[in-house]
Amino acid sequence: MAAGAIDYGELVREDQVHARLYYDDAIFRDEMERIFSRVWAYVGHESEVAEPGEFVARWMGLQPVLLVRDRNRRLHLLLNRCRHRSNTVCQLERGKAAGGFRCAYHGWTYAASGELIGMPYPVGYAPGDFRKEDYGLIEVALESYRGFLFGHLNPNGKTLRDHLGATTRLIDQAIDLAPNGELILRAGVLKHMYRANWKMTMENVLDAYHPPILHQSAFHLDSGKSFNWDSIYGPDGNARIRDLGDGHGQIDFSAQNRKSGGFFFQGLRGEVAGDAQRAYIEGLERRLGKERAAETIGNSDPHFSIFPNFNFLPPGQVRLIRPVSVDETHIYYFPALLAGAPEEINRERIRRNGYMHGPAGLVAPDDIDVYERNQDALRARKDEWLLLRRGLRTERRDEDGFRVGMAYEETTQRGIWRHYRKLMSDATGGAAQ
Amino acid sequence: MDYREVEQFIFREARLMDEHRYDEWLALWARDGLYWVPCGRDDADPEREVSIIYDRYPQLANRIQRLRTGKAFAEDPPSRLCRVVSNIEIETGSDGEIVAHSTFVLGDLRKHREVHWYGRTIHRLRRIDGALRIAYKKVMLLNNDEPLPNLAFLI
Ligand code: FES
Ligand SMILES: [Fe+2]
Repeated sequence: MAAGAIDYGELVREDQVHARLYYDDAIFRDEMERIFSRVWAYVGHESEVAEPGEFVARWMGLQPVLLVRDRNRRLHLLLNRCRHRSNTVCQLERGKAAGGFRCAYHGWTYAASGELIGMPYPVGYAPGDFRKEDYGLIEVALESYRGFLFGHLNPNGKTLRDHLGATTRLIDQAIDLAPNGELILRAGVLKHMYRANWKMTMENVLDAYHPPILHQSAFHLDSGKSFNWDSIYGPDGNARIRDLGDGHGQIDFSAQNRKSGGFFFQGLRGEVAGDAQRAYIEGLERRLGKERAAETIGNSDPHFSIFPNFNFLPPGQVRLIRPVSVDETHIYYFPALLAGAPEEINRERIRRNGYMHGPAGLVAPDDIDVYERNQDALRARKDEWLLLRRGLRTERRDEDGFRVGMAYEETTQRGIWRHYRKLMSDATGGAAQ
Repeated sequence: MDYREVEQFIFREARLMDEHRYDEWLALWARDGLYWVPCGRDDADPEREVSIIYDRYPQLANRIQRLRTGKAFAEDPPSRLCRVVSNIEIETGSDGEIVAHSTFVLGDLRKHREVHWYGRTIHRLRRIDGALRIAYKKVMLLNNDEPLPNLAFLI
């Protein structure tokens, strides 16, 4: 280890992590290098840029990128940086680049594919001094898994499939709920910000200990007042948490969903008219057959996280986590609609996205406030260890070899940190010393 | 239509929100009321695009019920709020409803942090049993396409 380098093996222990990991600016800079520049990171969904010329502005770590579909319908992930003397070539967050991207400063113009297609006074370069082909917008590696798009700043041979591992099954589970076998993310985006570290939300989304406690005000509204929440989250509860490796994880509510005939966490019970429910089930049966359709509805929407910046939550919400600084994070929430489902069902999925999890939702604001309380408390600098010991002795392996714990245990957080330690302890990204 | 009455109604609504007088605020609503805070742009289609808030009366009642539990931790301690409502313009809407346009500036102070909110509001008011009631309220936040901090109070 180089002098002055941070010893991540010491800061991340099996059953506790050091507070410094959340507030040290040097660690944040290491994370942008060792995590966000070395693994596949979520950037968007194919349906967001369905038409030629459509683009959305996103980030790879702190770097601004454009996800864009060119006129041949090919997708590109491009650094939003003019190759002349550096300038953002696109000022909008989404739109349609009819004539490509034109830099305002000296007018260099790039096609939606990133190719440099024109500049004023090309005669300024002496013959042989400049080749247009060398100065397209810089392209970032991009791969898709069934419409979900991930970028990689320094491809190292590990494919997106390798990275996703067992989470592909959960993506499949989410997609299977669509009668046409496709998810559509074109219903807008809610944006939420908080003043605390990005890892708070990555840990929280796989934390099934807090919901009946922190979210009691939402759980105990009239609709849930008489429900026995311990039957899901308590010692005899049917929810499980699962460490899927590589920092990915799941809260498995499928037993409860099956018990309640599906839809439990989609919140579609009673909210959608019987006609629409029947039409939906018939649509699904046409594609999957009766048996698999029933099984799919039984399993319902999955609840899972893909390290370092993707979450999927019932009822059909994709989250993109954007670290801004060591103590500022933005979360983007996208309703994921079921292609081919009756409009009423998708309407309800859209509505519940904002109602539960937006900045004015009945659930997410309490999580957000807790992250800021976390960050405030990290200023208290004595015995700075955060405990992650719940279920350490009792967690078991499932038939696939993944660690599984009870809802109120911390198997999934330990999974995140185990992977984090591995990535962060590698100063060179596997390159020769 | 009495301009003064409408203006006083809107000012009173603002004060009830500032003072977290949840039940009295809810009582200003018609039972078929619709409360909409668009997301991304002011003219989004709320049936096809996600909204920051898109509540019919039952959801609004849930929202209020939650805030009153004392366990809505995002509002514990509550935000201190102070808003200025101005530029009120009144028109006659369909079915004899009153349409009121207004703008607001809102200071939101919580845990030593001050956030400023700006927006334009459209109220549709209806007279029910002699009293004005909110049939529809649309709040167009200046920053509705930006990452927002918690908006757990009434806007
Ligand atoms: S910096 Fe873009 S054209 Fe000069
Ligand atoms: Fe939560």
